[in-house]
Amino acid sequence: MNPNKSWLTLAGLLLALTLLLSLSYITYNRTNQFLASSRWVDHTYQVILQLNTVLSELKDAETGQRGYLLSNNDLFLAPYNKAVINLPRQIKQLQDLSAQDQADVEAINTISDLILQRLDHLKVNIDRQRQEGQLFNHPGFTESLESGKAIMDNIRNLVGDISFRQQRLLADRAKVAEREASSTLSWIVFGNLTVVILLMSSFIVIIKEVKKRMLAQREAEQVAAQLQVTNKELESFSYSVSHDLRSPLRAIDGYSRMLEEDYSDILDQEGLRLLEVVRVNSKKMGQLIDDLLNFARSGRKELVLEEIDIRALANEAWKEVNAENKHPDVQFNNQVSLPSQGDKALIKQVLLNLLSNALKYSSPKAMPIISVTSEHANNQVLYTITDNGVGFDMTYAHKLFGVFQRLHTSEEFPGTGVGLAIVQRIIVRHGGSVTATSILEQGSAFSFSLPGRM
Amino acid sequence: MDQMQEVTILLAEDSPTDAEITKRALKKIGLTNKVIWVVNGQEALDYLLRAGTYANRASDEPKLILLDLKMPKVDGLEVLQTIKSLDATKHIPVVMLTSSAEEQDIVKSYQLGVNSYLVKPVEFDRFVEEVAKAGCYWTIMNKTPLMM
Repeated sequence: MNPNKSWLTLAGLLLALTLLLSLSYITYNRTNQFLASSRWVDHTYQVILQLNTVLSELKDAETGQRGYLLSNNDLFLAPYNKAVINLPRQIKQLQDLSAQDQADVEAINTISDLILQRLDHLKVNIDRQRQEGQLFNHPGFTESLESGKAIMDNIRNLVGDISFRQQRLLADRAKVAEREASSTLSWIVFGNLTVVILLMSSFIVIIKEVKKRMLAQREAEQVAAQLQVTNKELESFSYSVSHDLRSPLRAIDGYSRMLEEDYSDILDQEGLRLLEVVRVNSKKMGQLIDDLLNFARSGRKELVLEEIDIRALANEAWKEVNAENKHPDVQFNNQVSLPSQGDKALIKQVLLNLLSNALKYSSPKAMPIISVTSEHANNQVLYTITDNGVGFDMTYAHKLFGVFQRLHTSEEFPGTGVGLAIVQRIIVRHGGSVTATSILEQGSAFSFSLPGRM
Repeated sequence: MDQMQEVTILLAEDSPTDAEITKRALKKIGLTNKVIWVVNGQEALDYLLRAGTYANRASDEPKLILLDLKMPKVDGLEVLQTIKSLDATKHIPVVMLTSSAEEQDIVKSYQLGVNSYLVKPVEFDRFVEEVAKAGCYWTIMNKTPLMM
């Protein structure tokens, strides 16, 4: 996926997530507000209901008083007595309710005062009748009734006003709740739609990418299959090289030798020299073929990974290299302390090649010194083989590890130029790398890295 | 090895030059008077089993068989398999003498019961040395049961 596209997809997904979160927040808030609105609606109904309850209780008290005044019978006082007990409590409830929303507090306080006044009034009339008997024959009774009616009308009017105002309040609050509900709804619809679109487009981008990758994978598999076929062909090629190319060489060398053995008395000095040139060259070609096969094998052989004591392996390799050494004063310092993991046979080949190179190129010196060291480097272990030999020109360092690439002639130093190519191939297959540094006439250092302990 | 040894050696080798070098190497160690050279695997089996052109051969049982790996018709591995599967021949030492140092060939040969596996060196002197060592060991030093 190109980086822009993947950033875009990521941004889309993040935006969708953010939107979903804010939608959840908004929905939660709006639902809370909606619940509060319905609580207010409920509250308004309660206020109106309570007002009517108080009014009807007061009416009952009045009716009771009227019945008593007319009949002088205590039985009629029952509703009055009940109202006297209930009304203060109901007025208190009404005041509490109005205190909650601070609406009509004054009006309700006025009503409460008037009701209490009216109750006093009723009480005065009832008491007077008890003391003085049939009150409606007394002078001033009519005035008393009239003033009572005036208070009652006042109360009725006030209740009507409050009810009206509360109804309006109710309507306003319902309207606000409805508006909030509809805006919440549009938020939810719009937000969810956006989220869906964002998710869909991200999904499409991802699907496209997956398809592309599947295609690429299929291609890679095809390439791998082709490579396998090519590898097989190369294998059979190197097999026939190993068998068929060496046979004529053996004949060239063998028959030259036979000629030398059987006819040396006939051949003169020059004839024998020419014969020797033939033999040297067939030998050289034999070596080239062997090295090339080794090189092919080093890339083909399956890696068998194990923990390797490199110090011991270097000693072992040095023993083999030193067996053909003709220099009397070679010093070998094995300072390796770190183990590694790899294919033991192949890593030994690496050490053999590097050590025999070190010996070969330091042999012209009076006191050749070859040392091997180990150190940690970037999660790997770096092994370095140093010699104080003739060194090489760093200008050509890049050619060192190529097949059949040499920086010296085979007259100066024998060799075919495959050793370092094999070293590099083996180390690269282990996931490591090879480097070389040198100062002409002072020596070289070859390093290779391998994975550390498992 | 100063005196000539009277032993018969069967050499199966399709390359006349390799055969001549091998014979010369055997001669150098005094094992020359009875080398029977066949050029493919079928002939080698014919000789061993007294079949085909060798139906009426003299009773020269080889004391050693030198086998090339890659030969026309029947190759060395097939010959080896037959030799080691027959009671009449399985006691005869078989030495593979081949150009191939391929791991698969070596493994296969040992699985089939080869006694030695030699890779022919390109250099004549080393070739002589190898053949001489194997020839000496299997024909003179190695003891096989008499009643086979």
